[in-house]
Amino acid sequence: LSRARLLWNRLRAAVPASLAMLLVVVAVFGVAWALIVPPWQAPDTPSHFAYVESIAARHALPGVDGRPGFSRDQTAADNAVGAGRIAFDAAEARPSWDPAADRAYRAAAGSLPRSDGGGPNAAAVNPPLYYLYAAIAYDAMIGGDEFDRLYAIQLWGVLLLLAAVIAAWLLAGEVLGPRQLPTLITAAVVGLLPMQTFICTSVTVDALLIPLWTFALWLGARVITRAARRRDAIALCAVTAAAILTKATSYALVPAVLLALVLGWRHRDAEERRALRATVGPALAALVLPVLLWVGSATALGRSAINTVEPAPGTHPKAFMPTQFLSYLWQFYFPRPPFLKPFRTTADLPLWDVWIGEGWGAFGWLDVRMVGWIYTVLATITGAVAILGATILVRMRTRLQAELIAFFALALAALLLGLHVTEYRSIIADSGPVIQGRYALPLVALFGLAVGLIVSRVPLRARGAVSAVIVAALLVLQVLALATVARAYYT
Amino acid sequence: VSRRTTLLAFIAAAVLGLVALLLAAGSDRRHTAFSADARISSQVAFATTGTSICQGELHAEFAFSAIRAWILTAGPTAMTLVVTPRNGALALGALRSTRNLVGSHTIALNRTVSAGSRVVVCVHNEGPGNIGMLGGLAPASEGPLRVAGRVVAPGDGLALMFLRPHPASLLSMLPTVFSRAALFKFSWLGAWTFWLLAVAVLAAFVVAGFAVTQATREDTDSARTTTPQ
Repeated sequence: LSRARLLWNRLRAAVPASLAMLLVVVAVFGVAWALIVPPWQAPDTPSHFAYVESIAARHALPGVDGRPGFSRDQTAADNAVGAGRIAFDAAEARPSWDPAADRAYRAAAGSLPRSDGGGPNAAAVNPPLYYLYAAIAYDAMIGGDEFDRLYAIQLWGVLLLLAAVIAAWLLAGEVLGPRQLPTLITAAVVGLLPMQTFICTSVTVDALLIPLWTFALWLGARVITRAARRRDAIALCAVTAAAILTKATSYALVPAVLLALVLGWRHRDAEERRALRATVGPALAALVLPVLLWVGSATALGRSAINTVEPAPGTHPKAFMPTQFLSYLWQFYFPRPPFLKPFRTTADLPLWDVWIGEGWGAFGWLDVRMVGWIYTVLATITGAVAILGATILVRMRTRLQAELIAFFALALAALLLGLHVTEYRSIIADSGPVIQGRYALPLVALFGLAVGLIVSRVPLRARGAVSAVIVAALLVLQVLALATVARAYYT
Repeated sequence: VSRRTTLLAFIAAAVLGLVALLLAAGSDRRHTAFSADARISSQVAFATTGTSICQGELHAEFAFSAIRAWILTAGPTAMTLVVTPRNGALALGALRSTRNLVGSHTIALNRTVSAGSRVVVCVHNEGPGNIGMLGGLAPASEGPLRVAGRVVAPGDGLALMFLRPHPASLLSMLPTVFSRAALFKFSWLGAWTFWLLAVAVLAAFVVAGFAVTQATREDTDSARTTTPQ
């Protein structure tokens, strides 16, 4: 008993009360999201679930030619609720509300095979780390059916959401110093952004990618501010490797990680710099070895270790044209001037449709959205945060501040550049646009950090009230988003 | 930093937001009784003058008095909607247009069809133009799709939305929403889970209020100890 009390006292001392309370709040909303969304109504969840099932039931990676993409059990469950039928059509069609269909599937589920999937699907190219994590929840549902397994994975995702909140708290503490209000706001933004809660509690690789990137941003900042201590450097590289083993997009983290290591090393005095090999060697090994192992295994199995853009059937690949790419990039963020040929990927400005609309909240298969004027408000808030954040940043003069800004900016630029190059290549290959708002969520902590930074500059007298309004607004936005999903699928 | 100001600001913002949401949910009129659960992917049936497109038998989960269908016509067209319950009187509706119709159209019925009925929904083309109806993959429980009495496009169905006689507010539908949300989830999960979650969400507001106040206190104490005396 005394040992338990000791442990509890240590935990209380280590975890600030406001963080503990925030985690409780985020967990409640996370559970609500995990349970309210109808089965397989998040982007590509049928494919991600099939991947998990292939690992758990077949103990093998999916993507084997000649096998069905989905098991018969998953197909039967999908048909029973009408998941595939209503994907992209939430405005007109609904999932089944028929209790008899629910009972009929469950009665038949015991005799349906789960190991006859494993064929090609949209997620099969991904590395396996997230799916191994999800398979733990899948396997825990002994005697359950596909719906039990699906929702067990989604509830399991709440832990990933909480991990992202903890990482954001640590990041803000490292960058903004030991001030709880800005730290709380940073973590609250990361934990309560509606799209974030939706994605982290869906069956998708992005659910793991977001906390890993957030931890990488924290560790990178720590490596810079604490002169590349050995364990920080190794942890940073290991987390980056984990991110790469989750989704190939994470190769975009590597330049920023290398920059952090160099900057951290430069903070050491001449004597310590000589011990470089003792720090950098194990750190780079923690990054390179797991990735090489995956690339080698993937190559041996005849799989692609990175996401590739394939031209649409019957079309010929077109050459990458730098000027056309710049035109595409301009038209993504700004209105098209008359001298540029149209190269727009969405009906409205993609900046609005993709980063604002889908970044703050587009649920289901991106077909369930909150009331329209909310996005105007959210766009205004995003713009205000960007402008105020930039105004504060340009006034920062110390070397350490400049290094941190360079680290974060490189992570941001590399991710966006990677996404835009991929999308441009996909468009010229006639495979259509690929960027979705959720692809920016690995950097959601930077947005939270910007809000935290602004709060830290609010005069002390008003700081509490401003923070209170931000947290209350995030909670109300959460309720609105949950109600939007319930309204779309159940009324 | 004043803790009292922080708490008051939090309460004011949270109450204001929640009241606004409650008012919006109370005034948000929901018309859908149920759906035929067919996706709208293509034209699945085509009727020339004098022929009918029929779907069913479908199970009327709730009472309805109008149907929304996705229709394509070329030129002036008239059509009659006939809803035939297995037990009960026919319900009729009509749609007449002098121009091309493209998209969803709501056709009111002359009477309410009660919940629990099994019904066949037919659209009879009175001419002179042709009628196309949109739909797609549909569950087998919606019955076959027929044109002029012949089954067409097996596996497909008409996209139909059945509308309530009296729209209900989103707020008043909460019990229905929760019982529907409980289906196709964990086998042990019920509507009670969502009522519990609703209470937990409200409690989360209180906890969040304490979190901000606590952070304010920590920052105040910290500022006090670091301020030179």
